[in-house]
Order: sequence, then structure tokens, then C-alpha cells
Amino acid sequence: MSRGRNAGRLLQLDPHEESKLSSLIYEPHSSLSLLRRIAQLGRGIYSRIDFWVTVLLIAAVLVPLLIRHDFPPSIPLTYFLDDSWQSDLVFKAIQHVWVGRDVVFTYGSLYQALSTLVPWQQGFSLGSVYRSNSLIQFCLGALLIYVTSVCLLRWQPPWRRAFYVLLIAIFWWPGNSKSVFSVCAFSVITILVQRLCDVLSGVTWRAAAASIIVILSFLFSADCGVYSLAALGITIIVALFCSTREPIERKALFKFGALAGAFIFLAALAVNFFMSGALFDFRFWHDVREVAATYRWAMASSMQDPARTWFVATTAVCVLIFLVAWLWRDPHSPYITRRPLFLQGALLFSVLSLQTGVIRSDWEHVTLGLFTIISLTAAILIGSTNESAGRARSYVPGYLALALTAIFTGPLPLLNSSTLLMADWKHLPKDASCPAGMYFVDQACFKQGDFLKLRSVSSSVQSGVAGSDPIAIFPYENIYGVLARRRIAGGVVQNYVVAGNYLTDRHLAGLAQDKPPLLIYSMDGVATLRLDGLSNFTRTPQIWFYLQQHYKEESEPAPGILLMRRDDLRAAKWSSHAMKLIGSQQIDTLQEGLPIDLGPLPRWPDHGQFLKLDLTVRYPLWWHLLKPCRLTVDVALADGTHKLAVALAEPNKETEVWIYPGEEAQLRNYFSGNSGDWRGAAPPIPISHIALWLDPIDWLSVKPTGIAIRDVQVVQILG
Amino acid sequence: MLPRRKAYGPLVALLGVCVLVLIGRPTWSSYPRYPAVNERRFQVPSDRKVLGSVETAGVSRRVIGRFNGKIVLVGWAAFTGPQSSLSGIAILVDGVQRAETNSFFDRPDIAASFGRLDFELSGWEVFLPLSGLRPGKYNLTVEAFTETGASASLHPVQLQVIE
Repeated sequence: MSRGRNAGRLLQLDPHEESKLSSLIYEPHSSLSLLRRIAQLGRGIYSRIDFWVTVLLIAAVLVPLLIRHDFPPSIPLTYFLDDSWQSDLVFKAIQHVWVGRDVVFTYGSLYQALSTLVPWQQGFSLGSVYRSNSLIQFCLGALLIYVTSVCLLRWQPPWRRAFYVLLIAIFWWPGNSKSVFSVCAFSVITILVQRLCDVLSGVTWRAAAASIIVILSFLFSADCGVYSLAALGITIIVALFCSTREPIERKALFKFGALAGAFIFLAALAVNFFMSGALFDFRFWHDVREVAATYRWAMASSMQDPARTWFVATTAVCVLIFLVAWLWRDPHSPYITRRPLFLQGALLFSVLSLQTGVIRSDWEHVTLGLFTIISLTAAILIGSTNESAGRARSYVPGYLALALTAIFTGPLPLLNSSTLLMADWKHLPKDASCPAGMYFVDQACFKQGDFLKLRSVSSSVQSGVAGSDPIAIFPYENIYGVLARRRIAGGVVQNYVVAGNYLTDRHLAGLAQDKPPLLIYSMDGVATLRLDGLSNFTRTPQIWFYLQQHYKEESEPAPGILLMRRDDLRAAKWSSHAMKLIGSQQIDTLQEGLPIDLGPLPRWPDHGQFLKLDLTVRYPLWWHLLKPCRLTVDVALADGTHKLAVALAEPNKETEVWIYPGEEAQLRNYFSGNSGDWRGAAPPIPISHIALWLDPIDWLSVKPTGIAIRDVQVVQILG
Repeated sequence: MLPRRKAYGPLVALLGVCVLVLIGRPTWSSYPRYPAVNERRFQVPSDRKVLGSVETAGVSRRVIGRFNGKIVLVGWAAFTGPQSSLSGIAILVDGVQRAETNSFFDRPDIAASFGRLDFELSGWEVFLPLSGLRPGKYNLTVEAFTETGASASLHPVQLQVIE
């Protein structure tokens, strides 16, 4: 009797399985129930396979990370620039020093908090930061890709979303989650606006949700915030454009736009309050604006030929797919990826996001810039059809996505999360001790050269200043301070971000407030690299002069790494003497490939030390979409030799360019306690001639329209 | 509800192709390899015991300093024999030792250029005081020492002291 009832219930639940189950209905009750449960579980898992695939991806990364938390990772190569800010952001968070509130950086406090999760849980060490950083980034990336798939592939069978998550996370994740964050923000905002147009209700909560996403993006990173704000603007404008014949829809959209603006303003006030304690202190937003604006000219770098080819090829293929999708668009399709709002908005947003690769065009940033257009194109390919469209229409786009992935992605570490993850897993320790040739410092294994530097500098710092004292760093090796567990002073996390008057003043104000008793100074070409070929003195001359006025050399714990002790008496005795060498000049016609000759110098004074050029390089308005040229100062010496010094000049703004005409290593003399050594460090050969070169950084550089030179001075500093 | 074959079929097919792509990708892929693989550019000469240079001297092979001043010398040195590792550097001006160092920094560019990992810790930096040297021209020699005490000199450069 009971068997009959069970069989009947099963048949009612799943009539398609009738034939298969008919052989089971006479089985004992327990077996039947087990099979039924397994079948239900299978169906349950399959119905949410996208979610489980994401969980599996995250678990595959997190489990080894958590299991082997006390094993030291091996660091085959220490990147003193990137490793420094990554470890310092975490160290600062542990000390309750937050980006946006206490210091300025390109990344924000949300990024900082997420990076801190594992080191905070496992106990802070360089090892915990190295072990967790890229894996946490991947977990966040996988989660955001899942949210994107839920938004863009809604109403599709779950396997399509699972396929999308696997494809993007394994093959296309660019190694950093900020692009993924902005794509996710765009997807959510597009869904909010599209649903608003469809149902014409819920304006208020949708506007609030969109504004929260924008604010969270700003808290993640400055560029992410700018992209998310642009995503909101683009989506609203495209939606208005698509609803020209729908007055009720337009009204709802206007209301949405106004409310989103109001909510963003209110959220911005809340951020002000958390960051500075005052509702109307907009310093956080000023910081974000300056970081985003200065990055374009201060960090512009060239796109090498192979990168250019693939940047153009990838963009062209993706745009072609967008155009084909546009021909097949359907304003009433249940799939967002076929609707005009998405297709237009996604293309505009993708093209805008390429800016990341346009400005700083090393391969890593090119892949970050391409991620948006790639991930949105993949959503079109996977999500524009379903099984009812026929086998060819349904599956061919998905296979095309795979084929393009096979052709385009490859064994390069920066565009291949599987390679990155494999590398991380490879470096995950298999043992509690370091492998041969590696040395243990702060829960991580470093190669000999890095180990010697890190150990000797950090132990000198620990014995040189109290644990509560901050230290200063020049130019950007914060990792020494982190290893010594000393807070890094200054208003900006790393010097290389300091460009323009505002950020320079912020950094100097931080140094003046903290008065760090010790400075770790790494000499150019010996203990530090020149970023983009630019001398660290010329990149941040005001910072260098501040440090020179307040610190004197104390010891050299490793070659080229100097410990300097604060001595405020130096600043009191410090003076400078400037002499004009060349007066104002206006150059309106710049010939490509030819130098701008400023003419022979009248007389180079004995013991002249520094060159200061006060100039403005003028660019047309569209430089804001591309990048400026590279400025090189060609200093001809009396013995016929030349020094070519790369410099920075903010477009269309009066800029001071400082050049040390001698050999850069001799700048060490200026930190001597004996001011007589400063005179001795003056370049020994007089300078006879100065010329300027304005060369395109690459094919995306804008040609300047002219250059105005206020004056050229020779400066001597005296102590 | 979709028949099981229709629902599961494409997933299995796509996952299968994914596996194929994963396997074939290293050979099919077209994106450039980054970062560029450092390829060996120079042969280690068999007749030289030590390689290196005073980079501060540049192509003019001349270092200029001021009377009673100090100059920073930067360069690299590496012993060509596989068993000889660098342990010290001495700076001699006209044969008289005036500075030394026994700590070195990484020069991955040198190691890559010669294809020798043991050349990596070959960078050196020395603060050379010029006190007592009258204005004029001198021979500046860099002498490199191995851990066993053997030594060899780099090509000398000219030191010019000016008023």
C-alpha cells in the first residue's frame, strides 16, 4: 500500500521520468527514497550550476590558502613598487590608517579592507600578504563575474551562466578586480534601468541602488568610481534615447536620473562624514579627482607593437560582434543582451573603458582596459539566443566565444588567470621551510639579493627608531617600513602617485605633520628603478628638496639604500640662490622629430647645481582622451657630452621641471652633514646648451601645439 | 521542462571543448608573450677572469670629481669561473686603495645578458673620497676579489679631479 502511494507521488512529481522509475517502484522504500533524494539533489544543483561553479572556483582558491596558512610562500622576484603598496595598504589597515580618510592613493578603502581580510585573520606578515593578495583578488573577481552573469544572462539556462563564469574567470580575468568591478557595476545599473523602462515602477529604490553601486566603486578605486559614474550616465542617456516615443518612460527616467543624482550627493555627504568628520568637507572627492586627473599625464606610458596589434585586433573583433548583435537586436527580447539599451550602452562603456589601456599602455593595463569589451561581448555571444532558436543559432555563438578565446588568450601570465593562479599555487608552500636558494623573512621566502636588502634595512630601521615612530620613504620602497613594522609617513601612500601641486602639497603636509625621525632613501640606478625612465628626483623634485632640507645621511645598510636622520636645523640654515639663464620664449610651431633649441647658455656659473625650467606645454583639448608627448631635456655639456633627462610637464599648466645635470648617483652628496659636500656635488663640467624634445610616447600621443617658456634658471642650494 | 538530453547535452559539449581549448591553448594562442623572455645577448669570453665596468664613467671612460669632494661610483663585476664568486671590491687610485665594499646588489639585467644566474649579485656602489688628491688626472682601477682571496682587475678608467 505504501509502495503504491510513493510510486503515485513520484509519478505526479515528475511525469517525464515515468518509464525510468517504473523499474524502481517495487524496490524497498529506503532505496527509492535515497534515489529520489539524489535525483532531487542533482536537479537542485543543476538548476543553480552557475552558483555552484562560482563556489567551486572560490573554494579551489581559498581552501589551500586557509589550509596552508602557516607555510611561507616563495617570492622568486620582489617587485619593490607594487609589492610595497600592496603590503603597505594592508599594514595601514591593520593600524586603522585608511585610504581616503588618512592617506591618498589610486585604490580606495574598500579595496584596502578586502585585501586585509586574510592577513587580519591569519596575523599580519609579508607572507600572509603575498599568499593571499592575488587569490583574494581572484575570489572577488569570480564573485563579481557571477553577479554580472546573473544580470546579463537572466532567463538563460543556468549552464550558460556557468559557462560564462568559467570562460571569463579562467581565461580572461586580468589579474586585478577593478575592471571586473566596473563591468559588474555597469551590468547591475543596466538591469536596473532596463527593468525601470519595462515596469515603470520602483524608481526610488532603483535610483538608490544605482547610487550605492557608484559610491562603492569610488571606495574601491578612483578609476573604478569614474567608470561606474560614467556607466550610470551612459545608461540613462541611452535609455532616454531609446524611449523618445514613450513619454511615461522618459518621465520615469528623468525622475530616476534626478533621484540617483540626489542619492549620490547624499551618499557623498555620508562619505565626507566618515572620511573627515564633517558633512561638507569634500577632500575625499578632491583627492579622487586629482588622482584620476594626474594619472593621465604623470603615468602615461607607451604601447609596444605586439600590444598595439592585439589591442586593435581584439577591439575590432568585439566591435564587429556588437554590430552583428545590433542588426539582430530585439527591443522586446527577454534577453537583455539583445536589447538596444544594452547594446548601445555596453559599446559606449566598453570604448570608454579602453582608456585604462590607452593611458598606461603596458600589457597589464591594456588587458585591464580590454576586459570590459571582452566580457560584454562574451555575454552577447552566450546570452543572445536560447535552445528554441534552433541548434545552429543557439550554440554557434557560444562556440565562437570559445574559438575566440582559444585564438586570443594564451600562455601569457598577465592575461590568463589560470596561469596566474597556477603560479600562485606553485608558490604556495609545500613545506614549512624555504626551498634551496631562498631565505626566510617575515613568513615568506625571498631570493638572496632581496633577502639581504630586506633584512639589513628593516633591522637597521628597527634599531634606529621607536616602534611608535613613523618613517619616510624615498622614492617608493614602503616594503622596508612594513617589514620593520613602522608606519610610513606622508599624505600619499607612494611617491610615484604624487604629481601636480595638489597631491604634492598633500604629501608634504603629511610629512610635515608626522615629522618622521628616519628616512629610507634608495639611490636611483642602484637600489631603485626609474619608473618610465624618469629620474626620481625629476619626478618629485619638491619631495626630494623637502627631504634634503630635513635629513642627513646616517648609514648605508645595503648598497645604495641610505638611512637618513631628521635634522630640522638643516632647514633653518638652508637657502637657495637662483640665476636666470634664459628668458621667456614662445614657440608656436613644433616640427616633429626636431629638438626645440633654447640656444646657447650665456654663462654657466661655477658650482651651478640644478636646472629649473619654468614652462607650459600646450595641447589641444582632445589630449584628455589620449595622452601627451614625452618631454626630454637635452643638456649639452662643455666637453661635448650630453645628458638626456626625461621630465614631466602637466599639459596646459605652468610646470616647474627640475633637472640635475650631473650623474644621478652624486645626489647622495646633498644629504651629507657637511654642506661643503653639496658644493662638491655640483656637476663638474659646465652646461653649454639646452634643447627640448617632445616625442610621441606612442601612436596614441597627442602632438602639442606650442610651448611657452617663462625662464630657465640655474639653482644652487646652500646650507 | 526540457528533455534531459537537450538540457545536459550542450553543457557537456561545451565543457569538452573547454578542456580541448585548455590543452591546445599554449600552441594556438596568438597574444604576445609578456613579459618578454630575456634572451642571452653576450657570450662570456673564455680568456677573461673577471667581467665588469665602472658605469659612472660612461662611454667616455672618465670620472670627474671636485677637489676635496666625494664621488659615488657605481658598476658591476663578476668572475667568469663557475666556482669563483665575488666577495669584495677595492678602488685603487694610481695603485693606492682608497675605498672598498663587500656588499653587492642585484643586477638581473647582467645575469640575463650573459645567461648566467650566478652573475646576478654583481652590482656594487662605492663612496670615493677625493680628499688629498690634487687637481689632475689619475688612473682609477677596480679590483675584484673572490671568496678564496684571488683577485682580478677591471679595465681602468680615468679619474679627473678639478678645482
